[in-house]
Amino acid sequence: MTALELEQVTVRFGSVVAVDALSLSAAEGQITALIGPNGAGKTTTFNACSGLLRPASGRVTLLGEDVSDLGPAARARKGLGRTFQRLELFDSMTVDENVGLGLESGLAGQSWLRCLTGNRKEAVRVAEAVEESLHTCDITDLAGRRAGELSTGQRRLVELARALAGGFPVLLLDEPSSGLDHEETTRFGQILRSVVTGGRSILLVEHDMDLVLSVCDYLHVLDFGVHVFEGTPAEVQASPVVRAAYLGEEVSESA
Amino acid sequence: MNSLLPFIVAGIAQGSVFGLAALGLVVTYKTSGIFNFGHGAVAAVGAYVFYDLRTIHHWPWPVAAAVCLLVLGPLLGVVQERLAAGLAPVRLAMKVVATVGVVLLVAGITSLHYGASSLDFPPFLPQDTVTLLGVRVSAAQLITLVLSVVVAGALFLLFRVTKVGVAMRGVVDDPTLMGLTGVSPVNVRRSAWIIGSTLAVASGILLAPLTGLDTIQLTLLVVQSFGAAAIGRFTSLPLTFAGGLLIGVGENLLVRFSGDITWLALAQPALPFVVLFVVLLLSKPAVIADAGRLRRAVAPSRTPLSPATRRSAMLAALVVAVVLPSLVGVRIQSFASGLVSATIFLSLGLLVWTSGQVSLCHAGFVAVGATTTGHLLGAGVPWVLAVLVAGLVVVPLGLVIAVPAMRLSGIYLALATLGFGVLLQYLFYNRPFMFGQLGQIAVPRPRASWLGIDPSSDTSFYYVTLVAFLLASGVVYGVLRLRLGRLLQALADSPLALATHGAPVNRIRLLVYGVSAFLAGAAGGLSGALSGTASSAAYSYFSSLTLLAVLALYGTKVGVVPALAAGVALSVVPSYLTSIRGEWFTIVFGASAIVAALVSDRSLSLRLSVGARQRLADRRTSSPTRARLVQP
Repeated sequence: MTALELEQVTVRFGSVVAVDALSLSAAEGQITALIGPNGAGKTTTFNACSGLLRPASGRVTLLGEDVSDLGPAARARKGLGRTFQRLELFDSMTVDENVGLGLESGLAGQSWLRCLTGNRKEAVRVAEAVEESLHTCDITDLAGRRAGELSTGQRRLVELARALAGGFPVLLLDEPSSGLDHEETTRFGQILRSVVTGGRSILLVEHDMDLVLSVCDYLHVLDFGVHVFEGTPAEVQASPVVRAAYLGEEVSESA
Repeated sequence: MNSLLPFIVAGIAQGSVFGLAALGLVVTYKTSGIFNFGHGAVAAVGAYVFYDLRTIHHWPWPVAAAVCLLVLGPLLGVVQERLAAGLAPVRLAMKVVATVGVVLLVAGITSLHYGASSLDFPPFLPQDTVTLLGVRVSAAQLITLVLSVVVAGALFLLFRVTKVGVAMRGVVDDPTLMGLTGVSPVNVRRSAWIIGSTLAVASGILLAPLTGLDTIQLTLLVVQSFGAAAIGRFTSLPLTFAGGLLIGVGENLLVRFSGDITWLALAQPALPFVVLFVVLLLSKPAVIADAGRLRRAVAPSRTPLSPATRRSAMLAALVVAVVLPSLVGVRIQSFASGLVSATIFLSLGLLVWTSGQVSLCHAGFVAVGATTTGHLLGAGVPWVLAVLVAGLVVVPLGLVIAVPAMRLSGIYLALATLGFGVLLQYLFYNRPFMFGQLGQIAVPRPRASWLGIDPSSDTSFYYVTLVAFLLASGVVYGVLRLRLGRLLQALADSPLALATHGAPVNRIRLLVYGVSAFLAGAAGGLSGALSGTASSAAYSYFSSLTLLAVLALYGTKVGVVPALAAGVALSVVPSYLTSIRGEWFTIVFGASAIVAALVSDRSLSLRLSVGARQRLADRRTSSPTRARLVQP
């Protein structure tokens, strides 16, 4: 079974077609990357996956279930978690509160009562999830710090830990390494590998090609909202199509 | 049909003025992001200045009108543009607070200077009638209509032809275009505010002959433009103008059909809000309302007091509260009133500061609580039970307006609640199930004779209010310590993250709304029992505006101390300063609300630096790595 599948998804902003009849899938237990130049439609695709945008047409299937008509919270409760390119942390709260809310948000979605308060069993579950995800991301020492006062690198890890605590089998990570230095990025890659080894699936949007080529199992390449290539890291590196998409970009940049 | 025509004609003339006002509202809202609840107050200023020049100083009316439209309107526009610029970075609730402050400020000043009662505003346009197509039309109506259509037409032309106009239209369609049009955003905004303000002044002058000169009435009348703007979905200018016409005609037809059905006639001022509700219900919901709002700045630290200090401070405060009756003597009644107000502020603060939802109908909730308590007590229900049930009755009532509004952005809730407050006041306050024809209902104090206390004394009722306030504080702190409290805090920081992790954002908002409505309703029972009689005049929709303004004076935290401070400011201080006219308090509340809004969220620089750091970091990592994709 595929973790996440898009079929013929089209997203329009007014008359601009941001994503054009895109079909792609992310296999279970793997890290799949979505790459492409700026403006290729990667984040738009993510937003369509998580329900923040309603595509003009097309279907989104999560773990074999059609979730096209569900809102973001319902999709999360079906098992889809995500992070944001522009960090979305609860800045006024501590790191452990942030991470705990990763799980509590979903618990609150169960009923009116669960939205008001949790029971003892849930409190234990939340505490365990917090401890485990902080450990996985190696930020246990930050637990009592306020999220708003941390560095970007630390904040990226807190956001990942929060998504992990949510227990989502499928994770969308939007440029998780932006703002990280080389060392932090390497460590981040190791954490991602350990996450999929634990049985989860990751769909990743990433600019850092070192990271993408070293941790991903499979890649999809987007250009101007169109799916132009897919394959293993080695195939992508060798592809003239991908080369063209990126070289064009590079020429304009050096000009 | 022929009998309807005069009403339709009058409606079109009146509606064209609503349309003008609404155009001004939409243009300023879209270019600055500030929904101006003070739009009607600006109209009132225009009408008063016109009145002053023409009736008091005997200027010819065309000169007075020219001064108002060419000098006053633009001047007020420039002032408002500065205010709007200062409000740009603050949270939505504070934007509403500031524009509500403008309403209070204007209402206070005009009432102080010209008296509280409505002034006669003689018509200045010729009143001769002509017969057109078998309908008698007054020249004033004709001139008004022609003038409005010409101005609206000129405005459309301006938007088509001039550079600033085209930029403005682009920004009205899509505010994110601001700054991309090649015209300075400051110029676009300033022009928009000048246009908006001048249109408000014009509509004030044109409407005053119909209503008499009275700030509250004028504020309410230009509020009709909210409905018109809603028809235009706060975006389309032609539809907005058409919406104004529609509301004008609708209201005049209501007058025609009301005949002996009094409530239909009363429904007239409520019509625009009925329209607003319908628009809300028909609107496609946002996936996540207000996902893109500015995040709350990180407060530098939590309470600086140690738990021990806090405990002793609380104990000391409690002792003072208990012995207070022997300290202040007969004034204890105003302290009881202060505690009831503080309870209302707890309820309002919980809603506004924790969930970012603004209620402009809290006085309406309190009124329903008071009258329900009165009716239940009249039916022999025990006192405490009556107050609690009154609180419960308000909850579904509150949810009826909150549910449709909540699906859209926060400003719609503020609008819907304002509309609801007005609707409640005009349609239901004088009906038998509320205050009744006389506008008064008995709400006796509890008979606590079994405690051995004089049941009727002010002192014993003061203790009742003290206990009620403590209980309400307990409810608020309790809610904030539960999971709901954490979810609320998270909601203020990032609704987006909360929703994408599976939290039911609207359910969270509804829960806190329900708790707030309950507390307001229960406080209503207490407020009615303060003097033994609840009268409708004490719960006007204008009081809701005052409540919000005073709430904002004591920071953006919900808690016992700010609630008490606000209660004292509203109910205790005025009772000690009886020589000062009430208008001064309205003026001070309004002015300080504007200041409080402007200086709020001071730690903004911190937030910007975090964002800027991240953007810089993004830029650093994103470009060079792309070149490395195709490695040799």
